Amino acid sequence: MKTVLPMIVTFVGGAVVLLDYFVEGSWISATSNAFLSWSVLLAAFSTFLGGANILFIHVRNLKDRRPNWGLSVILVLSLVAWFVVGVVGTTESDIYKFVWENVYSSLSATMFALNAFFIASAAYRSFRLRGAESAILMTAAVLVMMGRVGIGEAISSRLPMLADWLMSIPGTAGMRGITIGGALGAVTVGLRVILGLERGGTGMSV
Amino acid sequence: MLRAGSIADLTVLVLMIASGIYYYRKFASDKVVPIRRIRGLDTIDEAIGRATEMGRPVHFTTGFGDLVADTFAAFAVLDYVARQCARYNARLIVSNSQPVVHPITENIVKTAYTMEGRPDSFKSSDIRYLSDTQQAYVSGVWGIMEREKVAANIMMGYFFAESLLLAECGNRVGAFQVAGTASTPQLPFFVAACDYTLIGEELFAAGAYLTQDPVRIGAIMAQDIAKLLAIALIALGAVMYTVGSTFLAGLCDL
Amino acid sequence: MAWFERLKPRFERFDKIDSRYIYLAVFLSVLLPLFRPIGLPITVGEQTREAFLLVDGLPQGALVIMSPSFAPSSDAEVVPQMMALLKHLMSKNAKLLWVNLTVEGSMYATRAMDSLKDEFGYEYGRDYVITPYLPGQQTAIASIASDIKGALTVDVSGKPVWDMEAVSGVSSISDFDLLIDFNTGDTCIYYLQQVQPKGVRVIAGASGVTVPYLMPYLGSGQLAGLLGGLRGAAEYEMVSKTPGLALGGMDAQSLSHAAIVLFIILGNAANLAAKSRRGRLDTGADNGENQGFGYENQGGTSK
Repeated sequence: MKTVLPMIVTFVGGAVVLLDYFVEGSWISATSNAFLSWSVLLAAFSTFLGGANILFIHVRNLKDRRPNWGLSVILVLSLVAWFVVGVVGTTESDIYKFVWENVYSSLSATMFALNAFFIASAAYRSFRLRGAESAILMTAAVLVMMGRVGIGEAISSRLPMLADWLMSIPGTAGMRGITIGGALGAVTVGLRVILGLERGGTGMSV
Repeated sequence: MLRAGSIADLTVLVLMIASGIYYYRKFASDKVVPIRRIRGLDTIDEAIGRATEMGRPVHFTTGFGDLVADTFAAFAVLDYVARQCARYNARLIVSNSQPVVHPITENIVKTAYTMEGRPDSFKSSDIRYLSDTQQAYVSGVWGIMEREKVAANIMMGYFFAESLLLAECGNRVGAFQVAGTASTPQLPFFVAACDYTLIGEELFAAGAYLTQDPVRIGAIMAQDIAKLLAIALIALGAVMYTVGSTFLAGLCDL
Repeated sequence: MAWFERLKPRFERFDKIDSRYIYLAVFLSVLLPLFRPIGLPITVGEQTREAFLLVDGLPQGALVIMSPSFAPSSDAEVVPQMMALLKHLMSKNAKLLWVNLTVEGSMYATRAMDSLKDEFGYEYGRDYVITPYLPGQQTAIASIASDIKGALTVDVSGKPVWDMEAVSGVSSISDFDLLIDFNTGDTCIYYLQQVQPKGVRVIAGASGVTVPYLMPYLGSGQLAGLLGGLRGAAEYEMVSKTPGLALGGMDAQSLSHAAIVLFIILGNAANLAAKSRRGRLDTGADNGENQGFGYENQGGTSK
């Protein structure tokens, strides 16, 4: 029953929504809409589940005095504090907005900003002339990088045109191919999940 | 009864299901795998071998995606990696960002160690759920890679902006890196920063090859049939559109 | 080339520059123009112009869905796009429904509207509505597309959405003139799959890395407009004559790109110098560290 019930639920839910895409019918649409609304509820619950999971793991670290348990103290206190602020004050409260703008948002942006440095070191390390393919990769990267900014325009008015052409024609063609392939992969995985043939999702061994 | 504009989609879907069933039955009886060994699998073996020699752990992460196609394919690769690590007695650390993925990866690794006759080598503390917030997840993986000094970093699944951050961290600790994703915006970062990258469908094909599962192999063949159809439509459509005919475009809109 | 022969020993030094020098160069190239702007030229591209003309062609009081689907990490690229488009829409008295698919969405919506509502005389409820976080992304969008009034029942303060003047005439998603999704991932694709077939035009404000991903949809006509990264925001500010954050940041982006290209050139010069000294191709083997293009390409991509 532990594996059969999820498979039945998955099949019914997936099949109805898929059917709604192809077939017109008021009861099909109504049922499909209901399932979609319920899935939004499930997604909301899984957000809560993530937070609860983190709390559980780090409280366990504290209890067992695992390495770096001090960091777990900070995490648990921060999580609880901001949870209380969000619930009591709601997301419209001044303190919530203050913490969000000055702590969470700033930290997130800082982490992401590291990409700028890392792409520089990655580009320096990997864009080396070692053959035809690497030469093409490097040339395209340099042209697009320079063509997309003002300094490229200052060097030559043709650079932005070349960069746009590279992105619009060969770049888009490559993306189309990969996107079509990826989408077909998603279709087959979706079918396998609906038909209960994808064991990974039920926690069974692959 | 059928919605307008869905006949073509339905035809392709039926074609894919039919070819999937055909190849499933063919493989189930022939046992001849119609998929070539993906080059990336050799590099995974190399990564694990390197980690074993250096006495440092292998790190595996399934990315930031939930239960999407890439993640399912990553499970198959994780099963293979876990078996190899168990076989060669290399420590495997798995990082997860999604709460629903975490118990699945734990189960996969535990089963793999058991199947290789090393149930005692499995440590649940090495299967770690970090955070479902992107940057917190990245920070967690950084910490693991820096503290544990991983020798190999395998990133398979669906990734977002954290891809380059993870790959560069792996590079900083000197790890051998293999990545695989169908997330097209992140592929360039992996290509630039990793030693080997499985692009798009190669990840799905790797999963099918490794598990030798007739269903997965049938699915890969079905994808190939659909791709051939897409190529034919694109080529024919381009020619027809050039000469002014919109017949094929109209057919696809049925 | 005699000058290259003379400089070879110096170039070889650049074969393995410590990453920290690279980071320092990038840091300075971003920081300095923020204090001393250079004023490098920018021309408005076709994509941005198309998006501008689409918004400019909207009737007064058009119904528009704004969907901030990005995380704070992409704030710097996407918020300038959002502000530029918002100013343009508000100049046309567009009625705005903010649909939030991320936790932070309503925060961005509130912040954006609070900064501009007085300037354009906008009033909450009469001119715009902000809905709370709707989880699920793909399923949330499918839910909105099939039954928007059922999916979004209350606003961020818990008041009924569809009683408000801004959206009172709406019966389905097809009543909206435009949807603008500010994204760094897949939400735009989901909107194109679910909402665009219902006759709603979609414009994407995307981060730089997402642009190649969305280009096929622009080419096929599914996407009606695309703003790409900080450049797209700067172009929109130029064409709409509302200079802001993006134009100010373009000099920094220019110099940082130039710095990266310079390091690439130095690295290759060092590689060539080393190659001619050793008399063979450098395969990049460096004691087990990242090997660069160490493998022949046999399907997939190796470095």
